[in-house]
Amino acid sequence: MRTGTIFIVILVVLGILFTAGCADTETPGETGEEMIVVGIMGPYTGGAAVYGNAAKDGAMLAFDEADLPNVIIVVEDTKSETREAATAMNKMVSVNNVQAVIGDLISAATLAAAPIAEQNQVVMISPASTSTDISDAGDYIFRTIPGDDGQGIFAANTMHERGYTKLALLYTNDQYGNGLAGIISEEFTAKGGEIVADETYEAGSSDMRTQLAKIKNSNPEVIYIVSNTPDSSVALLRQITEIGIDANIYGSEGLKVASILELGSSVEGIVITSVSPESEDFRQKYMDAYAEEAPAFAAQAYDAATAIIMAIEQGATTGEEIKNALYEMEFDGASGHIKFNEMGDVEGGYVLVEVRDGAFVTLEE
Amino acid sequence: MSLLAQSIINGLITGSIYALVAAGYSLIYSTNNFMHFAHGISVVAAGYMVYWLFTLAGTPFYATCLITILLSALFGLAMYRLIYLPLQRRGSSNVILLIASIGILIFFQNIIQIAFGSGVKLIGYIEVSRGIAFPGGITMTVLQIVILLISGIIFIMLYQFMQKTKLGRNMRAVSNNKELASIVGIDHIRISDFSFLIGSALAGVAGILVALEQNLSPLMGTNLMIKGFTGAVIGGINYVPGSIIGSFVLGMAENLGILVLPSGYKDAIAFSLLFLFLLFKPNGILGKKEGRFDK
Amino acid sequence: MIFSAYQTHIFILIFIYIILVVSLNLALGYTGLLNLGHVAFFGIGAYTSALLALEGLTYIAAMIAAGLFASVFGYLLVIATDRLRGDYLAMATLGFSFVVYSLLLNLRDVTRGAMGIPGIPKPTILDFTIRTNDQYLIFVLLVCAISVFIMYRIVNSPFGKLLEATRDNAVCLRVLGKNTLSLKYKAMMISAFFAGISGSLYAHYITFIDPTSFYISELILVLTIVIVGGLGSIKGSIVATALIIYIPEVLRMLDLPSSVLGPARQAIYAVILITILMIRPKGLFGKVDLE
Repeated sequence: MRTGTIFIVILVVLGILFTAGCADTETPGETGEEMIVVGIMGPYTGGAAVYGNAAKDGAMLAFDEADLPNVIIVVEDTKSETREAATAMNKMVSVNNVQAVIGDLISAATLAAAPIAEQNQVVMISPASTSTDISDAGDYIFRTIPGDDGQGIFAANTMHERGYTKLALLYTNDQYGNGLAGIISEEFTAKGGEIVADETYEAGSSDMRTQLAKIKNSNPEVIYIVSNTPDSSVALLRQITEIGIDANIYGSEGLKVASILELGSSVEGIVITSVSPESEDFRQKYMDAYAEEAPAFAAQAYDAATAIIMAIEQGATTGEEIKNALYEMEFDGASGHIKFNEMGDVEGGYVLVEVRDGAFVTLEE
Repeated sequence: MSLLAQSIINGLITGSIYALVAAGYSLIYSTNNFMHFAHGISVVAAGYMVYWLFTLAGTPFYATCLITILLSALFGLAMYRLIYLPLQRRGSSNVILLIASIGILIFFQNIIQIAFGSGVKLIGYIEVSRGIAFPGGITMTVLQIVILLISGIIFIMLYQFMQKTKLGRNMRAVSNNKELASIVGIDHIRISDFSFLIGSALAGVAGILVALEQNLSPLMGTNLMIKGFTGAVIGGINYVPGSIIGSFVLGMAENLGILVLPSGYKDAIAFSLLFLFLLFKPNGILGKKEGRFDK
Repeated sequence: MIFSAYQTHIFILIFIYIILVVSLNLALGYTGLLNLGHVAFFGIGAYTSALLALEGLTYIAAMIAAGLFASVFGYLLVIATDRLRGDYLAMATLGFSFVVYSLLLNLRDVTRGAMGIPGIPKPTILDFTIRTNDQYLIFVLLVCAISVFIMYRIVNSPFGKLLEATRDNAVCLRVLGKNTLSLKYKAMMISAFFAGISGSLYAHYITFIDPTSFYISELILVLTIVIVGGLGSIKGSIVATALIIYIPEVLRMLDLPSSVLGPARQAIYAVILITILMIRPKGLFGKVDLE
């Protein structure tokens, strides 16, 4: 027992030293030139891993292109958990000495990490968190995706203008689903439309048959889906076909993942109210680099990286300087025109994307 | 009316998937008495096996199914022989085995993600199409009917096996009273071997059907396991037919419950039912084992 | 300070979890209540404290309220599950944590549901607001030391011996004229109280909570720590908390290709966990077995 105790105490002490020791080895300035460390964080495991990886790939693309000699990239997994996000941010801030971080994707994780970034004057740019709470998260907190309110109003307007009056909502019972569906519901009823069904499901679940049966029974003209786990998206689109719902299907950008295209003819004609669509140029670049269609949030992450790269190229080296540069800059990025307002939010553009012949096609408005 | 009928059918379909998971789980639990949460990963591994053999490698479908079920059974046996049995031999209590099973679950979840990626995989054996409309406003796909039939046949076979064969009777003997069973000369380890083999083969069948009916992602095992486990407890975790019935009850309750309550309460309904059963009928609907009470 | 902000953060987490884990061990290891609902007490404490503090209650009052409210649930849980033992109690309490999770998620008017609660204020004690992590570390260390000391005294008191007797031979104890139900709910209430306190410390440290922070992954983490540390050993719980929280952090320092970084770390973590169990099959300092 005694040897065991000593063994474990030694292990823990080694752990402390090991996690501390790295702070010294990775401090900038070894090569003589001042190195700037940029962090990328997001969910690479857990239900939202597909989006996390897409954002990471998108951001890496920008850094690879720019190939700045004085920038080091560190990547941290946050598992879509709040505690992990806070830990990852703390680690990157004090061990890697990051000046800017691209992430997180999940709003909850971004909100948990934001106070740490703010306190340590580290810029944080989220490529995907759409919660309205993030606008107030702090001066150093930016995002390259517009908040839920913008997309909600756009979606409600689109469906209203297309003459629909009976809308069914089906959304993940999480921050993103509730936030966006709430705004759509408000806007759509304000315009005189009717919400005939309001159904939710647990993130990651794959059995929505009864929710869909209720929706079918309410005879909607259109269904709006808010989903942020691809397995649920695929399952529910499939079940919509199987259960025989004829209503038109609209959805948020979470539906824009390659795996839904595998469902074939049954997903033809689905309309996605996509925020800040990626440019043709970016799609091509992404295709060349990773041999697949750019998934949701890749372009937004690319732009977040571009913004940081531009700030660094303008001579910014600290979080504070990068922050100031971000509020000044304006550029046409992969996901549209990027200009941060005083809340660190972008205006963003919205387009409709339709599934046609097994591909996502952007509609010209 | 059609909504009610459709929800009952939905409950049956959901229930049959839960039941396949629960049957294997409860078979293993009843003979080993510890919570084998890694049973969920057997289902997922089987699903990915189908994806790998059939969709990627192009093996004929029925051969794929056969190989998958066989390998699932061996996978279960390997878990028992390589992890659980050594732990038991070193005197681990059942809670340690529970933590070990969680460790196994986490390990394979992540290995699958490294091997196949985090994205959703579809088998693509059957084209997704509109279900057949039956009278009474019910819509069902052919596959769903097949799933109901297959699970029905498997449950009858399992019941016959447990009642009629010597091995099945020995298994029931061990689950009823370990000490007595060993006194009459039943080798407990051999029984455990078989319970893992058969239980995991059932997980293999569940994995194939889930892969066909829904889709694959590395994390799906946790959810299936929780629901299968809930169903097993409701029906009587020590008695395989009980856990099958419990799973159907659970499927029904979930699907009928959200006709009245907002659908966000779907899981809450399932867990409240679990909680209520444990309070008022802890041995489940058909559970036989008495003496668990602190009398 | 001698520690980097990252290390301070890890220490804060470790101290918060020590309170949580030791309090679970009080119920699980010492009293033999196989309680998988502990993470629900943690969540109830976090929400109570956060909501009350946002309503303007002073921090200490909110923290105590968090503990008391959690302990009320502890009482109810024991009363409801009194007849159950062993695995059945484990399942019922597991069901209890799922139900609490579902309620946190669906009672949107009170808890904001899935939206979570952002902007939870940092604690203010007698006009002094804790702002930096270093200050928070000292505060948490203090609360942790007091809590563990109280629980240490409890398990080593005659009352603690009675709890262990409840675990080992309840029937015998009842023959001696002791009310085991009353012992059990007292133990559970104390256990839940400290879980609520640690929930409060957690909420006001991270400053954002949502229902997913109090669900399966959290439950698995806490349970793993108690079991690895050993049932019925406060020392084991403390050492295992440090160990289990440090393993993933040390793994962060491994230089893995970014494409497999997340899953590879978790797979390695799982292997280490199973290896620890293989080497010490009763947990690091385990003294007792549950049936």
